[in-house]
Amino acid sequence: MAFDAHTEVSDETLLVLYGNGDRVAARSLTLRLGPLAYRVALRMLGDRAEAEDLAQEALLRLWKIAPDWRTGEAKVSTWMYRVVTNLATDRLRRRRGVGLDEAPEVADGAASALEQMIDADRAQALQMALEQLPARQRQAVILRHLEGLSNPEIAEAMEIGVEAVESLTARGKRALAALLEGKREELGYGHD
Amino acid sequence: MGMTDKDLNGTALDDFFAAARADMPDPSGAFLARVLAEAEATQAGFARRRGAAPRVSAKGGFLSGLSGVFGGWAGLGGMATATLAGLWIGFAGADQLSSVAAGYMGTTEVLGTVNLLPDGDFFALATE
Repeated sequence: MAFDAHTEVSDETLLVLYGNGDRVAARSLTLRLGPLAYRVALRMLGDRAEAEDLAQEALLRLWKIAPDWRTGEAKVSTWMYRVVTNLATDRLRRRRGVGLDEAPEVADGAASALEQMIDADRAQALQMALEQLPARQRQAVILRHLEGLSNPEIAEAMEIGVEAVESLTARGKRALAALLEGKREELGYGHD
Repeated sequence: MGMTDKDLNGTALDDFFAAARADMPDPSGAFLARVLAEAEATQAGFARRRGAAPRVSAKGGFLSGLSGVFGGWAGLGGMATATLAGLWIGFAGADQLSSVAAGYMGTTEVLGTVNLLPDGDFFALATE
């Protein structure tokens, strides 16, 4: 039997079943949304233990609201993206004492951080660069380019307009390019 | 460092995104087990709030249809057990499967055996 016994059932239907006491739905939702929440949390925070802690907190919020979930208003996955990225943003603010969007596009110390990853692969390089971005830019870039959400979906998850999403994504990508540019030769992007 | 899109252009950056997508981190089995434990504990609270035991399905439909196919609630209980076993196997790795097989089969026996193949079909499969 597949681990997710409800492959053809929507997240929303599963959540209603869960709220009604369906134990199989609890397992299916755990297997669908647990990895999603953890993945995004890890991209945002860069620390496995902290990402698990945050993802568990986000999922607990989902379990608690399940009986009161209003069908047809938002996708469960969009709700999860919103909660995880908001919780992560709060932690980043507490951790670093920076605002949501006021940090410089290329943070101080980025060059030294990049120095430590000469042997890292591109995925690791990107993760390190992501962690240099201001929280909101990081959030938008992760949802757009790593999770594959559309701009309207990101706008809903971040509770901002589509134009603001486009702006955050563009600024985030410029900053990433700037961060990665310094090491492109080591990472296989030298000039021809 | 200024605008560097023209140096590390969009295509190159896309390669970094592709590399990161291909390197998606998986959560630990212990994490999923904790999440599931909280899901079940929270769900038990719903039942207490309603003053009733947890139901498999309140609205019929998908699960009540399955119930008919698999022989009533006992059959679904077996299915839930099978799902849990699958989850555990996913956490623990297949190499530990044999160590739990006896216990798992015993549980299935208690909950009722689901016979998906009439004896004749089973015999036909076995002799192929």
